[in-house]
Amino acid sequence: MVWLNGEAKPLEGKTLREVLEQLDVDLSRVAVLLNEEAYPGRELPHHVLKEGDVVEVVTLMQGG
Amino acid sequence: MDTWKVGDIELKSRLILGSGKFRDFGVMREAIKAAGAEVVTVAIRRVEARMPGHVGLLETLEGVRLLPNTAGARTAEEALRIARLGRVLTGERWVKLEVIPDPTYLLPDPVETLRAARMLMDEGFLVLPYIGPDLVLAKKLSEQGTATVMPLAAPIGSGWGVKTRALLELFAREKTSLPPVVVDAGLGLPSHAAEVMEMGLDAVLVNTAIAEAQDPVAMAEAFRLAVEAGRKAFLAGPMRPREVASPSSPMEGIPLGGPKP
Repeated sequence: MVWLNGEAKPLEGKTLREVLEQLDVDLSRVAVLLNEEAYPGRELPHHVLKEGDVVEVVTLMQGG
Repeated sequence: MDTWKVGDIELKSRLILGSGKFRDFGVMREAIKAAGAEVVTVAIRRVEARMPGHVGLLETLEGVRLLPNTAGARTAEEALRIARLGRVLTGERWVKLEVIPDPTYLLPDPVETLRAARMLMDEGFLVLPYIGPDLVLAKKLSEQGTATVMPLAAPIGSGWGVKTRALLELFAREKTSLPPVVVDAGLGLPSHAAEVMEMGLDAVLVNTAIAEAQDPVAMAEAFRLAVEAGRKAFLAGPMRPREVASPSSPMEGIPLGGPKP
């Protein structure tokens, strides 16, 4: 299983880019944390997801 | 020009605005303008499928510098993670460091905050830590090289005002051994902002008091004026309070109709 935004999902073998495309988000407005490394949505590393990978896909929100 | 600095970033406005809780982006944009704010805080959150966050937020915040926060972090490691993402999203290397373990009072964790500050600075961040009104902690953070210290006036979003005044006065007394002091959290009225500025502290961060006002734009302007007034009053050198009254009119020559005393 791969942890995607806090949920365990069977995404092993897919690339990070494929997962983001599935999420259907604007890549210019997101950042991705892959196992503690942060990347801009438009500069994703080529990474084939494997068991235990932790992926967070985030964006800016209102906050104080 | 009366400016102040966060690290190498020079700022004119001493009112930092939080972007939370505004009912719509149009009101937020007008409030930012009315506040004269140069810096606005933002949070980092997970996106939902096909819901890429607050669409239009970036456009609303065009023209101001974004200050990403680490709100939601309960440990230093979580703060570091959120800060890294904030840096990627905003392109800014500064971060408002919040490490808050308890959602009821939203009080910052001093131990984790100190630890997180060190970790963030090792990664080249300019750190603006949100802390309790603890001068010892503030000095330790200052020795580590944080860009500011941000003591609270009262719990986040409470609007209680300057409940920590006596302790904030110690910050004012020790200004020379501290980085800029930004009073963050708990201010509910413009007079609260004026009060801390009159004490000689450097700036305030306001969110809920403006966003939850019936007219946020008017309230933003009121806060801008109060911050300017408080700062000007501090620079003008306030009078010293006396123990007893001191008449403003001459005590001689009062026309009482009787013989001279």
